[in-house]
Amino acid sequence: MSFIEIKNVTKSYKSGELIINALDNVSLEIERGSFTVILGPSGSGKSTLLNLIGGMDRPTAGEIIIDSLQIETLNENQLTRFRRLDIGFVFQFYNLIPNLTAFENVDIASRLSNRALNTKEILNIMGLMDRLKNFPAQLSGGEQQRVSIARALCKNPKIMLCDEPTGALDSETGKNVLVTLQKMAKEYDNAVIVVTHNAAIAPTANRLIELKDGRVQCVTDNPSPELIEKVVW
Amino acid sequence: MKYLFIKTYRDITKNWIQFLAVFIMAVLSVGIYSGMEGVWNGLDNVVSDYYEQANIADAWIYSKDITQNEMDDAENLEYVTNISMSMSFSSLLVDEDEEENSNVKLRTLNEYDTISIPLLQEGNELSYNSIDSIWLDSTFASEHNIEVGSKFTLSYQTITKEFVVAGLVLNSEYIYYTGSTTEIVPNHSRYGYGYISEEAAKDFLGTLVYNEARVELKPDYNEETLVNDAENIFGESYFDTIVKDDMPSTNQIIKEISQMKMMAQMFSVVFILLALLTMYTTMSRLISTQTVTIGLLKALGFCNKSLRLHYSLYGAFISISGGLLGSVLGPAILSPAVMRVKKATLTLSQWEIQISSTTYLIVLLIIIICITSCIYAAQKGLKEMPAITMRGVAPSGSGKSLLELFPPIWKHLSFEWRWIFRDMNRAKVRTLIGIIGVIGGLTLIIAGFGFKDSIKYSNDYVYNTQYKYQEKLLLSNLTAEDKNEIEDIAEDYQWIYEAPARFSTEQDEKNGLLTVLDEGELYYFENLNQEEIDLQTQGVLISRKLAEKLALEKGDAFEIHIIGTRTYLSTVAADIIYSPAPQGIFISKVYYETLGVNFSPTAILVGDNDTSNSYSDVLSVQNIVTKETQEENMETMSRSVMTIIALLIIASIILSIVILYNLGTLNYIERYREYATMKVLGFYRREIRALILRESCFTLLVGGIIGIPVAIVFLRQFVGIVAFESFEWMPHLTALSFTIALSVIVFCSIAVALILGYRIKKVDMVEALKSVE
Repeated sequence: MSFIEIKNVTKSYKSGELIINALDNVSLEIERGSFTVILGPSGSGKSTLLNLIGGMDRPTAGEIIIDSLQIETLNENQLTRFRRLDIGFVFQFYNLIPNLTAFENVDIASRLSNRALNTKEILNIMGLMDRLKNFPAQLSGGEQQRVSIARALCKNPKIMLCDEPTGALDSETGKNVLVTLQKMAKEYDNAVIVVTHNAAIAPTANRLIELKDGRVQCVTDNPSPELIEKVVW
Repeated sequence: MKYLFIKTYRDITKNWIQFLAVFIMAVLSVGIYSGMEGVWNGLDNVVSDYYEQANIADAWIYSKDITQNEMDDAENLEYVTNISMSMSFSSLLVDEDEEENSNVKLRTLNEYDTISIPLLQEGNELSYNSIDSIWLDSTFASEHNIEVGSKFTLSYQTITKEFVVAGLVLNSEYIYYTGSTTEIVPNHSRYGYGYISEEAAKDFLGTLVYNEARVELKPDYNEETLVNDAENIFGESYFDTIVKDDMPSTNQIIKEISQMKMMAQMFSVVFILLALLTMYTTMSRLISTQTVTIGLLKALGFCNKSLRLHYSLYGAFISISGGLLGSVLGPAILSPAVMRVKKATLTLSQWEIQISSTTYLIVLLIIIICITSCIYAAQKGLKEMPAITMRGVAPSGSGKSLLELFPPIWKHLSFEWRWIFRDMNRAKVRTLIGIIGVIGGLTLIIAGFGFKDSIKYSNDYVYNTQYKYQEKLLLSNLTAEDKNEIEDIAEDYQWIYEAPARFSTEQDEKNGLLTVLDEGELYYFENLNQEEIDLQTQGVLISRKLAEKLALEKGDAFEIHIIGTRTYLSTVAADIIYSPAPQGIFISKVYYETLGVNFSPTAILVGDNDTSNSYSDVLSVQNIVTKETQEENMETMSRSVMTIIALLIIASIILSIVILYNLGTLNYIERYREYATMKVLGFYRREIRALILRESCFTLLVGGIIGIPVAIVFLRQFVGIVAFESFEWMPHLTALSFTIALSVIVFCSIAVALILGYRIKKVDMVEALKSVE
């Protein structure tokens, strides 16, 4: 049994009389310690899929089983607990809390988890030791995204979900962020899932899932992914 | 522009809570002011018309046996334009069914009288040749079921005479009429007035002796000159001169109008300031959230002028509708309630509610503030290029909290507290307004409840602590025989002399009551240190409020002039005492006599219960007033004041709820993304709720620490300013009222925090975090 199993998941939105299927009967599996890239154009349903895996939304139909836990059946409190302990989110626009410093933004998350990693250690790994006391507004985009990754990572989650983590960054900073994420998957045995519309990232994944119009177009396993440093976009 | 109007409409419906808050603020602040103003302004105008219609006198001169020559001399004074003389005396209504005597003050009228003329309400003109017609006070008549054409008998000492009611009248001299120094509030059943012809007076008393002159004066007259001239003209017979503004009735109107003005202004100032502050914050914050939209509209080609107009409509629509509705609801709801209170003390033939241009100026001020705050908030987006504006405003938050300057404290703060302090630092205005909201709400609610307590406490003090007697027998022409008879009947008694007097220092003078007490224990005195004082050993005591008005301190000298007599006394205040009523000077009989004045009692205080029937045969006893009746009268008046207070308390509670809920909602909107992030990170709802609650509690705590002393100072000022001159309400706040007032604010704050905490459930993580504007 895979670490993440998604079986026949559909997510529909009602827009007036019209029903739109953001995801249409999607099934896939993801393993622990893997670096997975979900690729697709805008509106393909990749963020919806990420939100469903992260327990931020519920599917209209189908099953989502993570580490043997069927999450679509969880109540709100159980879902919160699931997010609290098992999920680390990284957003395109960081979503840092503006009136907390870099250190505090990470520490707030580490306090939520009973198996949290050392905040300073994580920030050190992220190369942010000299920015600990800075507020988000005083950090560059890349620094903010590293804080955001540190925040996700310090909870020591089973899954890191990254929604366009490089979308707001220049290519060099973006690469650095992806390097960090790839390293996290290996070193911490996390399932790192990156959602992107940037095809250049595709060769770096252990598993590439391509989505289009809410459906899985193809799933490609790559036993020897490329090093991110070599990717050009 | 069409779509901008549609946008305005949709924005208002989407943010209806904030707009409703501003709307309620506008309605309440204008409503409170206009409701109170409607009464005092209406009263002012009606009374002015009434005075003009009745041609009220500018001064009253009291003398014994005024002659025509004296009148001619007075009329020839250059500042006198007209003068009339009459005879005035008190009579009793003879009614066997009545337990208590009713007093009718009679004045003679002749065909030449044009000053202070009574206005006929019902019936016929008074015949100046008739010996038995009377024009009777219509309120007194109504209390005694006397109608036009009814016959009734009046007595003067041992003489009685039957009169026929020709008409029912009201006189501007009696708008406020208590009839006796013992009464604090008008009692229309016991004290009335009437007008008879000179022929009728002669027939009743067998003689006609003029003892009052009413004078019309030129506007530039000098009071001191008038008094000196009157003394010279009327010689030995002269008693006193009272000018219009010092006349108890006219003076009371001036005081009531000014009391209402003060009450309205003090409450309204707090109301309007809080309302304006909230309106400004709400409107500017609402528009701040539209910065990206402003950039977009500019990019589409809308000019700044159109956008300014568009956003000014937000403020204009709410403030105009709220302000105007307030100016309608105030006079329609609050004014009648306030008027009912005033009707308990003032007698007028008609009452009107009239608001002045000040109300509309306040509406205009509210409109200007609302529109200005909208335009000012929009201006931030308008002045930049569209590309910059469309990027949105970068989140602020780099500011450190003041507490961080003290690392030992900061280090020990929990994470949540640090977050709260940082957030407060980031949203300083919002935090400040939250604190001001708590202070304002507490101040208004404590003042409301405290005012109620103060009245109750003062009444209790007067009737249960200060007055130890059970009955007060009012005397007239006390004979030695009657004095002995009374002393035989009464077991526990104290003779007393009371007279209206004018107290003066070199700087100022004030009217009040002079009370001279013989030995006895039916009157309790307490100094400002709440220690019992013995009048008999102290000699002269002065009530606190009078002392304050005359700037008199213990040991200071002052003069007493007993009004209506030629008695002038010089003395020194031995101590200052708490005496809510009466306001004046208390002198022991022994000391009074050392000043060279003869002590002739006007009343006797009796400590025994239910002895009133025993005095029915004592001729000198004109009236018996029980302390119970006095207290009931006072409570009736107090209850009517409570109506206004209840309305103010309700308005204050609504105001507090609106301010706190509105600020809470603004907080929620501004921190929506943060709450969404917290939810994504895995914070439970209860943890987020606890954070909101903690912030509310902090605002409450700071607001409370500042608000409680502010409220107590406001209560003191309010009670001091609003109280009548004749009855001082002592500021008092019971622990229960304090607890209730505090609970209301705490409950509102916590309820708002809980409601907002509940709304956390509705935070849509996906929607909130999918894009950043």
